Amino acid sequence: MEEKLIELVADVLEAEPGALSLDTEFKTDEFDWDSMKGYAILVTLEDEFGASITVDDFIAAKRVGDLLGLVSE
Amino acid sequence: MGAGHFDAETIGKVVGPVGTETLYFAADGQTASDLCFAAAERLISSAGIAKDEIDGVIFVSQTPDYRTPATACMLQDRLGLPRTAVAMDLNFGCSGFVYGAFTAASFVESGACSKLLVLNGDTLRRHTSLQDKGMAFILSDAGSAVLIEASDSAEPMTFSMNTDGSGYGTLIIPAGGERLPKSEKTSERRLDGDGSARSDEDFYMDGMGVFTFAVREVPLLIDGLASLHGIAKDGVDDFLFHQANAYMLKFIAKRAGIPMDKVHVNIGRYGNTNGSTIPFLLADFAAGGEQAGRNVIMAGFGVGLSWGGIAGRLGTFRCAEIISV
Repeated sequence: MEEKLIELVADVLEAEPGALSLDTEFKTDEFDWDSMKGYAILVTLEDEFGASITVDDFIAAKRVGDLLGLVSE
Repeated sequence: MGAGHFDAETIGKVVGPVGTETLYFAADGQTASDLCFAAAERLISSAGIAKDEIDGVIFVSQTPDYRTPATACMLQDRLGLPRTAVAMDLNFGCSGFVYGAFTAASFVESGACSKLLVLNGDTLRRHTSLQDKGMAFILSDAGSAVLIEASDSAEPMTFSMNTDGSGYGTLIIPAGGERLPKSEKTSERRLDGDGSARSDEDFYMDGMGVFTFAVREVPLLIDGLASLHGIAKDGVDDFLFHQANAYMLKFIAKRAGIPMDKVHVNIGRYGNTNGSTIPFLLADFAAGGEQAGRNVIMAGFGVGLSWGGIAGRLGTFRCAEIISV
């Protein structure tokens, strides 16, 4: 699950999966972060993992690992 | 635009993924029907269409001239169309071209009409808060005119029309209708948690709601249309989608498994012109040379929530250039 999560997030961020780990902060200028990428990650994770993620929880997530908790709840 | 309300960095962050470069605002007193009138006159004169042969006019807009009567009635008179023409308004935005074309094509198919004008126009800038980060840098005011006519040599068109009214609040001007009349309270702009300010009389967009709706539904729409039309998705040469924003189009293409070089994008030149985006894509497409024989899928999606598409093979179509009035 971790590997798939990192791959999906990296795909939206247009980064190499190897450049990300669960510790990576993803809402940063390094990844040209903007709200659109946030929407894209949220819908991707919901569809791929069958999860239902609230906006507040997603806003609170800072690191890739925080997303793991949201999709495995 | 929103300059003066947001700093340059914020504007850059918003405009970058949206892809808008130039936006158009209607002049004071200029309505959507004025823009459509100019487009229709231009179309009629450049294509040499006899006005007395036009037997229908459909005005698709969220910004009519009056609450009543239907703006299409005044356009029938102003354009000098026959009194035997049917005239009606349809209240749609970003899916509006598909709705107009569907209605006109249905009238032609039934034999009720033979030549109809589909006029899409909106002046939503007047209903947009410049202090709304999500809206200030996207919309343009525009009008367009398309003639749909009966032809013995017409290629078949396949339509798919869809509605989910449970999402009505995703794109809405809350105040000004019967449900919530305008008042001092509805005119007050309030700050939201994202640093934007708008009133109940301003156009509201739930950015995430619209994004998730579009990126989930449009790929399904494309698959359904291709199947209904009896064409493989790979066999579609061109995709003409409502120009919502550039990033969304890219993400839709990715989820739909469509190469981006088949997806037409011109939001940079005109902005999001609501129901006129697909006519503007067609105009730019025609300006690029002969397009007859190409298989296309068009798709509009937005306020309602409503979404629809058209699959077909292009014949030779004539198109006047896009003008500023």
